[in-house]
Amino acid sequence: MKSLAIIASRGSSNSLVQVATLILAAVASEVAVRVFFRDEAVWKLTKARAHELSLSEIYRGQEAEVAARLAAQGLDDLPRLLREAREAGDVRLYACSSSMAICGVRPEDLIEGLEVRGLTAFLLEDIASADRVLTF
Amino acid sequence: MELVDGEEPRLDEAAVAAVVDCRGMLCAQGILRLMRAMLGVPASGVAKVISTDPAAEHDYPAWCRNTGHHFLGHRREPDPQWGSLVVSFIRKRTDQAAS
Repeated sequence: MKSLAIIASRGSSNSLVQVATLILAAVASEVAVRVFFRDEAVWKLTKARAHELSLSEIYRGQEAEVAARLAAQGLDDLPRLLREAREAGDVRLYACSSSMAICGVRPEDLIEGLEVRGLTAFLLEDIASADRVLTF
Repeated sequence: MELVDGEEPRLDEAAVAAVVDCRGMLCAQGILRLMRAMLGVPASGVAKVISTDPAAEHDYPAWCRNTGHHFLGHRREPDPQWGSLVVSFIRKRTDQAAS
């Protein structure tokens, strides 16, 4: 496998950590990665919210313990994880332009490294050329 | 030194060019550290990777198959802090010099 396209829609910290670690493993294995963040994920990956810990409902009541474990593993900083991934190889991170409009997110609100991209271009270019497609 | 699940069941550990310490790291972070460390290893050089993640036994051979490096094998070592270590040996592909 040489290329991977990922569509990430969920916006919880734990879900996006899973996306980030998958990107890291892929790029470290010389797999090119294209990621299309949509919906809640775009909402989350803004400068105002990316550092907030927001866990899925199933972790309710366990937030402090999970936060401590994420921190112990160095997985508590999403912008840093995504920056490491971009610096490690062929990775492009996209924010869905439609989702941004719905969420009221402007390009300057996004964390560093996210590019605005339309669904059609991602569908016809990135997904069409990828060896595998994953969704989160 | 006897290794399992790789291309060379016996290896002279004195030939190791780099030691990659991935203790305490989960899978993706360990692979990322290994990738970065391998950039500095000369072609055909051997890297020794020390891991606490038991998944390393399968992750590193798979990584080698995808990247063209050679997985020489691994052994398990007891460790007072972590309980058990997975110590893997990887020979860098011959067509990739250190950078």
